[in-house]
Amino acid sequence: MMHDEKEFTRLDNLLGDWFTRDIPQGASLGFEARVMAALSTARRELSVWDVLGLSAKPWFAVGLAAAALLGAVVLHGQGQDAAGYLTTALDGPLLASMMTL
Amino acid sequence: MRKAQDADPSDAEAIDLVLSGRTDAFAVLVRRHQDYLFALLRRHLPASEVAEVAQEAFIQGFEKLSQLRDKAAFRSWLSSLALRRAIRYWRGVGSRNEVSMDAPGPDGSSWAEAFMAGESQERHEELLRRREAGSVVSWLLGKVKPEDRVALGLFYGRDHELSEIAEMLGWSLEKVKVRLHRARKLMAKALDQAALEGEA
Repeated sequence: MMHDEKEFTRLDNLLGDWFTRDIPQGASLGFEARVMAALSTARRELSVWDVLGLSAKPWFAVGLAAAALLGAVVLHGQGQDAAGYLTTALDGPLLASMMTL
Repeated sequence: MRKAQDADPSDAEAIDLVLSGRTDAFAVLVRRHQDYLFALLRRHLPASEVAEVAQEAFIQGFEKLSQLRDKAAFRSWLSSLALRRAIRYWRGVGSRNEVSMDAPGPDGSSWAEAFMAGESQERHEELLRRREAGSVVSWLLGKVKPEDRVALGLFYGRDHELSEIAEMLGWSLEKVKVRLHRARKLMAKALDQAALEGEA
C-alpha cells in the first residue's frame, strides 16, 4: 500500500510538473482572420446539396400526393372488392400480387 | 454609457447575432476565447497541431451554434469540442507513440532549439532534465487511452475541478474518478516496472 502511494506520488509530481509547465500564451498570429475567412468562404454558403434539398422537398411532396391519388383512382376503377384484392395478392401471378400490394 | 455601447457584446448576445445571420459577430467569440483555447490545447497536443485543432473547433462551434443550450457557457462548450478533437487526434496517432509533445519553452522555441542554442551550462542542464522528463511523460501517456490522456491533462493542469472535467468530456463524475484512478495506476505500474528493469 505504501509502495503504491510512493509510486503515485512520483507519478503525480512528474505529471503535475509537466502539465503546469510554462507554455507560450496567446493564439497564433492572424488566427481570428483565418477562422473568419474559413467560415465566410466555405461553411456558411449553401452547398449544392442544401439547395437541392430545399428545392426538392415541395416536388417530393407533390409527387407523393399525385401517386397516392393515382393509386386510389386505379384501385377504385378496378371495381374489385377486398376479397378480390386478397385473392390476387395471395394466389395471383407475382407481378399481379406486387401490383395489388 | 457611451463606453458600454461601444463594448463588445456578451457571448450570449454575440451568439444571438450570429444565429440571426450576422456571421461577422462570431469574430467577437473567436477574439475573446482564442487565447484560452490555445492555452488549453497546448497542454494536450503537440505544438504543431494546436492551431489546426483550434480552428476546427471554432468552425464546428459555428456550425453547431444553434444546438448550444446555455449561451453563457460558450467557452466550456467550445473547450469540449476542442478536447474531443484532441482525443480524435490521439486516436489517429494510435499506438505508434512516435509523436513527442514537442513542448515549447516560454519563449515559444522548442526544447530542441533551445538546446542547440546552448546559452549556458545551467540552462543546458535544465533543458536536458526537462527533455528527459518530457520523454518519460510522453512514454507514460502513450500507455493510456486517448480520452484518459486528455482527462489526465485536465486533472494535472489543475485549472479544472473534477466536475468541470466531467462536463467537458461528457462523462459522469464517477466515471472521471474511476478512469483517472485506473490510468494513474497503469502508469505508476509502468514506472515501477521501468525502475525495476533499470536496477536489474
